[in-house]
Formats: sequence, structure tokens, C-alpha cells
Amino acid sequence: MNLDKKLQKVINALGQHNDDSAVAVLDRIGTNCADDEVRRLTAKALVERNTEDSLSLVISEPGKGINDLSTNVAMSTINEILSLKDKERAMKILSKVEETNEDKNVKETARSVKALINFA
Amino acid sequence: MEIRSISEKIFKTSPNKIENNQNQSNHSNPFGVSFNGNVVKADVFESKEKSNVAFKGAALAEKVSNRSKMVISTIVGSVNSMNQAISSRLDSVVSFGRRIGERVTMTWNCMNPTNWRRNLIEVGRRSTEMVKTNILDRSLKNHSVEALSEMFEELASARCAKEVIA
Repeated sequence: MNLDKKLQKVINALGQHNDDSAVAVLDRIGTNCADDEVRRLTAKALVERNTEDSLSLVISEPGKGINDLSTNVAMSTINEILSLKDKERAMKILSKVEETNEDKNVKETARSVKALINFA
Repeated sequence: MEIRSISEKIFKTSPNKIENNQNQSNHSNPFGVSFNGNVVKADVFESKEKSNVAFKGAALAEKVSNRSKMVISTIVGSVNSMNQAISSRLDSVVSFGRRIGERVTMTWNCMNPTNWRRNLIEVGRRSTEMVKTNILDRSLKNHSVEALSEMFEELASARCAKEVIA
């Protein structure tokens, strides 16, 4: 098995782990990694986990998830949010970020994603 | 008398001819079978007088030759028909063998040994990977967060290093 596949498996394993401390590991190592692919896979795993902690990371943090500096990573995260079966938690967090966040760009991005979810 | 004798010779008539014929035919035709007033000739019936050795031999020879001709013609006919039957069967066998050979060649060409082997190798490689992935999946789920964290760190560093080299 090559490196990329192993990496994907480890990230998925952390995303599905029962222990909530896995989110902190993903945040510490994954979302801060210099490699775009690692950040993309980490954001995807966090969205799929669909908990408040994991969604907050990818929605409200600047430079992470939907606010990533790489367009590829940001668009991939937005797609994952749109693919969620249960979007209730994501909508709540998006609304909260739209209303309360200090960063203007983060607010704009959250508003856009919320509109996309409503449109879909 | 002389005229009569001459006329008899010419026209081959005699007053006793019928009797002679009858007498002759009585010897050879004991039942006196006649047809249109003419008594049936002696050669229809067998008579001791006429069954001499030479006649018997000639008749026998004729019979033998006729029968031998019949036998020979039968044999030749049967041999010819056998030849035809055998050759037709051989032809069908040969054509069948040729068809099988052509189909085998066609199948082999279609399969194209190099592609077939390459595909088989690819299938083997993918199935091995799938098995390894399944095993890894199951084993990773049982790992602790700390162990996974270490693995994640190693792999992420390796990937970053790979990107830098590239």
C-alpha cells in the first residue's frame, strides 16, 4: 500500500474514532500540515465525523476547512458539507459564525455556504 | 419324286415332318406341350439325349463365369462404395479438426498472451492491496488515539518530505 492510501486510512480511523481526543490530533497535525492533500483529507474526515467540535474547526477557524487558503481544500470541504445527510448541526454553526464571528472573511464564507445549502 | 425331293430340300417340308417333330418332341416334350399348333421345342425341357458332357461343361463354365462376374461386380461395387464412405468420413474428420484448430488459434490471438498476463498480474496486485487495506482498516480501528497520532505524524512528515523532493 502506498503512502497516500496509508495516510488516508489513518486519518479516516482518527475521524471515526470513538475518543473525542482524536479531533484534537487531527487539528494539531492535520489542519496545520504544509501539504494541501493532508489538509484536504483532514477537513473531509472532520466534516464526516459531524460533531460540533469537528464542524466548528472547519467552519469558524480562519485558514482551515472552508476558510483554507488553498482553493482546492476549501472547495473540497464545502462539497463535503453539502454532501452531509444530516446538515442541521452544520447549519447551526454556520448561522452562529455568520452572526458572531469577528473575522469578516470567515463570516462571508459561512454566509455563502449557508446559501448554498439552502439552495441545494 | 426328284421334284418333290428338291422342293423338300428348298422349302424344308416333309410329310412326316410333323410326326418327326412330334416324335422328337415326344422325346424332349413328354407332356406334349404345344403353342399355336407348334409343339414346344426340345431345348425347353431337359433330355438325356442332349445332356452330354460337353454341353454340361459349357453350361457350367458359363454359369461359373456369370456368377464370377456377378461376384466381381458386387465386390468392385462394394469396394467403391466403401472407398466413398471412408473418404467422406475422413473428409468430415479432417474438416472438423481444421475448424477446431482455427478456433483455438483465433481464441489464442484474441487473448493475446502479453495482455492476459499483464491483466492477471494487475488483478493479483489489486486484490492483495484490497486484502491489506481491509486488514489495516480493521486493525486501525482498534488502535488508540496516541498510536494513531504517532502514525499520522510520521506519514504526514514523509509526505511533506516527498513533496519537497518533488
